[in-house]
Amino acid sequence: MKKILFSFLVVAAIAAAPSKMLAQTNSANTPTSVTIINPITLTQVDGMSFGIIGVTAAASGDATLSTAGTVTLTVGGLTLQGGSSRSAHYYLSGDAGKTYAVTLPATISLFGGSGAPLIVSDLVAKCGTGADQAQGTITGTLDGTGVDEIKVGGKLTIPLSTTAADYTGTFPISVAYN
Amino acid sequence: MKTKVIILSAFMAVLAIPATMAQSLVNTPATVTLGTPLTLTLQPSSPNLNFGNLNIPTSQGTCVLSPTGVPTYNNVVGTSTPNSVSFIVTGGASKTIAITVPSGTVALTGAQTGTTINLSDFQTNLPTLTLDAITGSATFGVGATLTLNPTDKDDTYTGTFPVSVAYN
Repeated sequence: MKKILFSFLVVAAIAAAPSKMLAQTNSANTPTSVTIINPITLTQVDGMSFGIIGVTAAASGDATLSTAGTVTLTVGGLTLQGGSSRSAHYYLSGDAGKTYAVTLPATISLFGGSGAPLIVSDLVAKCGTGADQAQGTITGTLDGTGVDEIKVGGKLTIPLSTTAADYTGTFPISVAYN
Repeated sequence: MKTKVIILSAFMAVLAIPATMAQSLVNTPATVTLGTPLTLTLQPSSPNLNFGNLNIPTSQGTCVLSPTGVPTYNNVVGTSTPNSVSFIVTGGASKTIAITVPSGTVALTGAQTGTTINLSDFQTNLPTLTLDAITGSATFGVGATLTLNPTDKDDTYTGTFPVSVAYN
């Protein structure tokens, strides 16, 4: 229906055009290009989870979640206590062979205890089988069938005297064609 | 020619709509649970998995020791009282934990002969348990099956096996 409507508009425009305009020189070499693209679509498979970390009153430090989903603790009395850690995981679909950019926030706030929120920073993403890339410079390439996957990790900072609790938050991730 | 240009322009207008969909955004949850670290210690009153004294059988036999220390002899004669091993676990009040015992066999080595006999089929009476709501502690036992053969030597056999706990 849309096409038909445009045809009518074209006809109407020609009909309404003053004869003077038609007498003008044809702009035969007007460059015109059209790029038809599939929308790029990001689908979440897993959320980000640091698992269960043991804290004491004197404990503080960092928990770094790799894009492979493994948590590494710095010194400071923190201990891994089970639970399943995992990196955030997404599937991506769009135009085959096209490159895309990933945008992540600088930090994520996790709320749950009685004190200030816990902060996740230094987010990194791994696109397909590529290397980890830091926020601000993350790019990937859709494969020959127009799909790819992204995994995201980051660094959780646990300050002194953080109370034991379940902490949760959300963060936005967006992808766009380059 | 003019007509052609106008038609292309019309298509451009239509295509401008999917162009705005060239971005996709997802809000993702992120979580961590901070908890009291788990500790696992041997119960002083029963710190060893002890099968007691057993006679070497004339054909293969077993002694199955339950997590609560009850022995079941199959073609083996026991001549002293065995006991299972008990553990005390502490952590966050009311939290549920999982216990992991060996899934394969563990060899016990004779002090004199250096020969080995095998422990297998480790079991715990509480594969998962909930820590006390007030004290944050709980106890559990571990048992196993010892297999003896006629070729085994007179000796005192010892070994170690790992037990671990983690929050569910």
